[in-house]
Amino acid sequence: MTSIFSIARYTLTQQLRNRLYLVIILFGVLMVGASVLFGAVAADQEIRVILDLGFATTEFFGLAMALFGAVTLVLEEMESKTIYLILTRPQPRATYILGRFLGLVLAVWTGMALMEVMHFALLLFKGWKADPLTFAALPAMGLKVMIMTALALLCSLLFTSAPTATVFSLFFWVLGHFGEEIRFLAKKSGQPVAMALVKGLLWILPNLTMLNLRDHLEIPGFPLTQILPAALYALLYTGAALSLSIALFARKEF
Amino acid sequence: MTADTPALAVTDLTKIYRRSHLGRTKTTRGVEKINLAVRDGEVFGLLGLNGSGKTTTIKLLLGLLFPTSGRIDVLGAPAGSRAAKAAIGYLPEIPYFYKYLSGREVLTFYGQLSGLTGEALRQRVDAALDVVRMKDHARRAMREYSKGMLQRIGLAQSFLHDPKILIYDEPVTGLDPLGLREMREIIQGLNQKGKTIFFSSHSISEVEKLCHRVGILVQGRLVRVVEQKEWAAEPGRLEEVFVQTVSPDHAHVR
Amino acid sequence: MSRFQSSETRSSLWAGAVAVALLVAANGAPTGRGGFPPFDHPVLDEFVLQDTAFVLSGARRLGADLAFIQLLLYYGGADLREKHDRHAGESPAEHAGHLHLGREGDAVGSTKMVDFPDLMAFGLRVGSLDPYFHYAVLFTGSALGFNLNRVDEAIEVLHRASLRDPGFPRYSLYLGALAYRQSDEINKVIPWLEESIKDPDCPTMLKNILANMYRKQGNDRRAAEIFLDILDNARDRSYADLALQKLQEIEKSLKSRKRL
Repeated sequence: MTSIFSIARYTLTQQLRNRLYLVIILFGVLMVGASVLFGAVAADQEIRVILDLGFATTEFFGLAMALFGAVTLVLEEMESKTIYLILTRPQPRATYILGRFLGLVLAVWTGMALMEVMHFALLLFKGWKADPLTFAALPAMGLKVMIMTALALLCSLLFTSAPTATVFSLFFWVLGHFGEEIRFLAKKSGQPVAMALVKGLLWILPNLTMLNLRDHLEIPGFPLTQILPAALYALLYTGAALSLSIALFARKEF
Repeated sequence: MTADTPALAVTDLTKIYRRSHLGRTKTTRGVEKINLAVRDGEVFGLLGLNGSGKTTTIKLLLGLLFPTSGRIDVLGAPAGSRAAKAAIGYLPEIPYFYKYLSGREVLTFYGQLSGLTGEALRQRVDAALDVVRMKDHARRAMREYSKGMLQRIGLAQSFLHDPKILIYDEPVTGLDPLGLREMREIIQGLNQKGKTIFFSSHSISEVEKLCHRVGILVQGRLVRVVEQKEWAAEPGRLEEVFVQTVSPDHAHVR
Repeated sequence: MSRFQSSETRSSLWAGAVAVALLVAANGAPTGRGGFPPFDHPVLDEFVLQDTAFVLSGARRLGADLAFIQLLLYYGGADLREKHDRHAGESPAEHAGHLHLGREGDAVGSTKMVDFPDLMAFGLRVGSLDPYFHYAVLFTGSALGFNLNRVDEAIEVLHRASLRDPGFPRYSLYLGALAYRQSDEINKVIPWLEESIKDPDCPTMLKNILANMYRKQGNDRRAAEIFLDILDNARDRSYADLALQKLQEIEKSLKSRKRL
């Protein structure tokens, strides 16, 4: 357990000292600030636009940090052979995967937290009457990005090429948001084969819509009832992705 | 493990690389039917031309590669197992480190992965930095280190956890004469403390000065093991033996 | 196979089995109530790619925000509406620096041209992305029903929205007001609108509409109260400027009445 935390801690330190990583955070903060320009066009709905654009920006840049971190960290490490000095230590290989994952997630959440501090400061400045329900969106966004970090890590082990791993991770992101629509289209087609295929596909794809609480803020009573099932799902799915990564990594040769 | 247990016992070790591409499988022989026993407290050198299987052998000893057949025991434990890894310190050919961490942070990190904690860890890190003469530079980031400094940190992390066996892959490659001498002194010092040292090299002169025995690899096969007494009396004798052994006219299977 | 290799293989198999078990558990876990209905109905062809992109990136609400901004840009601000009303007798094609946005293919200057013919579609589009964007529905319904006198379209927008979100009470309030608007019973519309503007999220446009109704009825006092509220609270500067203008007109009118 200590070793997992050691690897996590050094992963976090590495990420936060990485200039490119800091540039992504800075850019994210600037984009959140820029949301005020869009808000101005929306007249009465200025607060809503700043709220939505800020959340979307934070989540998008969180995703960028997760993909960048997971793909470059692991692949770079394997190519540069830095990984040899960890794998030759008396630790199970799973320690490496779990430690790296934990460190990455913490680094991404730190960046997202910084962006959200800016976001909420901007909203309050614009006269937003803070609604506690709004904050329900934050853990959901964090959990969504956590799932993507696990998937990006899995993709980097599966594909050993940064662009391919990134593309497939984005593939999961997109399809993870399109599940209901795919299900609807399959039902509409009425074809049993299509429906069975889609059902199988939806089992494998992450259900990211469930974690879209930032979009569901206006649904009366919705976010509060949804947080726990969403969190449970996120943890289980992340666990599945990590277990698969551990399975692949155990048999990997260097 | 008894007093007679060899430090490293290699039995009929074979590694065949298989690469599949568009339905075709290409096989490459890494090493074939290697039998070797490295004695406890011995300095054993592995010589061979490029592509002869030196690095493959070392990776198999470390559990970075899995044998196709045969077995390797490290002080009686299977290679790659936790007990085996705990007994080994490894230095890769070109050590790569996390450029955003300092020398001290890197050693602390590896020490933690080797099971060291608290005051014991701190003392070991200090002692290791002393031995490799890097105490004054320990707080600088790795990206600021010269090649020689990186090599020294690499060396330090290999014996930080006081392993019984040190496995070094081409430790003297690229070092200047002063660096060569320092490396030799450190290796001799470690051997005097009772450590078994197994290393691969191109440098016959260094191997001559350090080793009790030398194994010669030709195209993945261990064709000859030469005792120190065979070259000690005659300067340049090891080189002769080596050239004879690797020359296509004289290469033979043991 | 070495003993170690077989143990790594075993670890790998165990980890794989755990992965499958967790995936099964994740899919079997209670999911709670669903969020938005599936996005099955791209409304405006020219925005299909844009809307789909927002759906695919999991940002339907933001997509609805952008769609609403595009609706506002299409419909124009309060001053644009007022300018239009003042010169309704002029050439319908181009005047006072703005265009009537007729359908593609309609002749310029044609008397068949309808103001903002796609406004309903713009409103429905926002609703298809975010069924809970109440403000956009109320805004579109108000614009169609009270400004453009296209009550049927207004009712259509509100009705569809109320089907998606039957729990939102203000839709029925607006539908009630529109029913009286349809039969031109302005006196009966006013109480419904008075109820609507109590909501702090009520579109400023609706307040403006109600104030104008009061002015037409000669109730300048109530109209002035509403315009003052707009001046103090509206985020849309065009409405605030218009309210100031209207207050100045009311003041002038009151002064001239006093002289008489």
